[in-house]
Amino acid sequence: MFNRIKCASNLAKQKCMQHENIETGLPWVVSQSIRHRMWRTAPKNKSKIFYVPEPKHEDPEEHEELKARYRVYRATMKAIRSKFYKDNQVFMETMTAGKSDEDIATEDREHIENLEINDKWNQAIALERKAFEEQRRLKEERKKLLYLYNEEKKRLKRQQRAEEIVQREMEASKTFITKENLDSVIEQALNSKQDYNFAIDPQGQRIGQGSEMEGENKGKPHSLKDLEDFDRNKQEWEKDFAHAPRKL
Amino acid sequence: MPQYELCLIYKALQRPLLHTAIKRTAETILERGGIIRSFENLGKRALPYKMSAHKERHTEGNYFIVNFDSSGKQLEHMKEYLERDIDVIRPSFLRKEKEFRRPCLDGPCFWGELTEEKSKEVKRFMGKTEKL
Repeated sequence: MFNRIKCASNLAKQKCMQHENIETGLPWVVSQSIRHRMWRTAPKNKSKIFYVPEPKHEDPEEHEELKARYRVYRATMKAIRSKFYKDNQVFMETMTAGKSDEDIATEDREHIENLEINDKWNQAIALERKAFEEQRRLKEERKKLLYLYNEEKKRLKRQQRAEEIVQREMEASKTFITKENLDSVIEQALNSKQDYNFAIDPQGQRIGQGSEMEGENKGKPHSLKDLEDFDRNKQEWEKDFAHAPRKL
Repeated sequence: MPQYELCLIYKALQRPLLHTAIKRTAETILERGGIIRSFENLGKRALPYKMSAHKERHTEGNYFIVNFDSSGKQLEHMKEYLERDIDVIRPSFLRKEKEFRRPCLDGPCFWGELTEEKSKEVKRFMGKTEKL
């Protein structure tokens, strides 16, 4: 356990500042025992509850001597300080007293001239600043306008897309199947046969017909016409895929 | 609502029986708030391998596709129902890439539709007034 000044932490500092000494204007120094290896609110150890630390031994003769010496030190310091103060005062008086009226007048004139130069400089800078600020304002305004324009453009695009979707769906809804026309639609579907069993070329064009490959024609090659088409288009496809790396 | 494709394999039934079976499946979708867009008949085909369903072995079946919209929650019930259907060998649901999404789902609506929160508020308010 150590006795330390509480102002170690910021919070404690604030607390100290709140309770300022009115006479001196300085914060009270609050001493608190901190056990660093324990948490802050840890109570006093059980074995140390009734422990009273022994006061330190103090030699009375030495104490007297120190007191006397400190008194002397304080007196000398005070004397030196007052001497410096007086000397300075005398110096300042001589500085002003030695000057003639002309010197004072020139000093004043110089001061006024300096002020004028300063004013001119300030005006020039003010003009520059004004121009710069105007430019910045215009830039920001343009930025805002551009943002608004882009937003409007986006909104219009979105609206157009939304309308397209709604139109498409409204048209599609006409052919939705309901309970009333269920029988007829099923009949229609059973009569027609969809077939996805066919090949496509790189352009998405259909090669042959799947139904040909079913039943009797199963295992046979495509029709002659399809093969001719394939040969004719082959060179074009190779051109399309010339840039692509060939992995085998 | 998301758009789905229901790919069905029916038993190799006679046409009238197939008709009723298709009608039954279509009605299950309609009853659960779905929208049927179109039917596609792929015809009678040999199955790629022997399939067993409802304690029977099948070597050929009728392939049929139903394009429909439905909520995702209802899909499980539909699947359960179709698995119990004796005429169906395999029901399989596929989600379509292109789906109809409400265009005003993000951002303000162009036709004055309220947002979900706002509509709830309005409903709550209406409920209060009705009680009074």
